[in-house]
Amino acid sequence: MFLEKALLEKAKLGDRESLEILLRDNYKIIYGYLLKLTTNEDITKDITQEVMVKAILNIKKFKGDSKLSTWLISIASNLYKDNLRKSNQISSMQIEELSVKDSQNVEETVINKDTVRKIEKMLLDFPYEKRMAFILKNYYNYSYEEIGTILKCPIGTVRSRLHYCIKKLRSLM
Amino acid sequence: MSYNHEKIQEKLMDVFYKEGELTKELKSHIDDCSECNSFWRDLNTIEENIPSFDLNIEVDERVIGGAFRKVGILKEKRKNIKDLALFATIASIILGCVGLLANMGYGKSIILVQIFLVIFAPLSIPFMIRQRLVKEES
Ligand SMILES: [Zn+2]
Repeated sequence: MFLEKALLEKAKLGDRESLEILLRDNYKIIYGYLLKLTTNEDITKDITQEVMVKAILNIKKFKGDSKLSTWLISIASNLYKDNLRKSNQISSMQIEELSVKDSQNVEETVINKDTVRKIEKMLLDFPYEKRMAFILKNYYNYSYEEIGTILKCPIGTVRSRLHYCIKKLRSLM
Repeated sequence: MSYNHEKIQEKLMDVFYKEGELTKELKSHIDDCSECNSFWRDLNTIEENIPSFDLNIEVDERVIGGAFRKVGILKEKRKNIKDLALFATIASIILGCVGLLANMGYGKSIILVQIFLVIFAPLSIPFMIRQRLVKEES
């Protein structure tokens, strides 16, 4: 955290190397988040790059009242929404591929592969705003408040979106 | 006892997400109410079964490098637009002045100055080149 602050200061003064380190450090978070949203590696790569372009252009505007990763996730969410609006063709072609990979390393004793698949399928069918909230909460452990800031919506909305997801998922049980 | 199960379950979801406390009231309700008890258990089952999506993500340097390149191009474009705007402003100011002078009756003198410039400006080119060479040498 301290190192991040020092690097940020330098990056804001125009030091490219510091900015590169910061972006590299946060690459996996942004990429992972977008991949969970899009399930498409090409689109994920494109949006990840756009996130970085925005970050490079606006790094001076980042006030540092949240973690850099939160700021980047928020940019990623906006760009994902824009992307969806522009092209309604984000395919779920690679879902199968993703699911095979991750079900290989789950503990079979506790986890039912079938349920995982069902949950995964439903997760991808959620309206994107609800899916974003669900992913931010369940995979990144952001608080309601932070999710509200990231998705630019009131806490009550975050709460009801999450509750909607849980209720839907519960119907699979 | 008329408990509002839905309200209780909403509170349970908050507890599940660590946004609320498991109060005594909630705890005793879970113990007594089979509906909310199964809801509470399902929450934990959901958590255990959420797909990990844990792919081996590797940092792709091309994505980062490409972002910096894109920013370079964008900045260049913005600079060009700025330069164009500056040029347009200066040009219209000069044109405005010329128009004003012509309107004030200096049309003839303006044309003379123009002719003079067209004929003599090219003569200054060798001089400008020499100046530049001197500058580059130093
Ligand atoms: Zn109940």
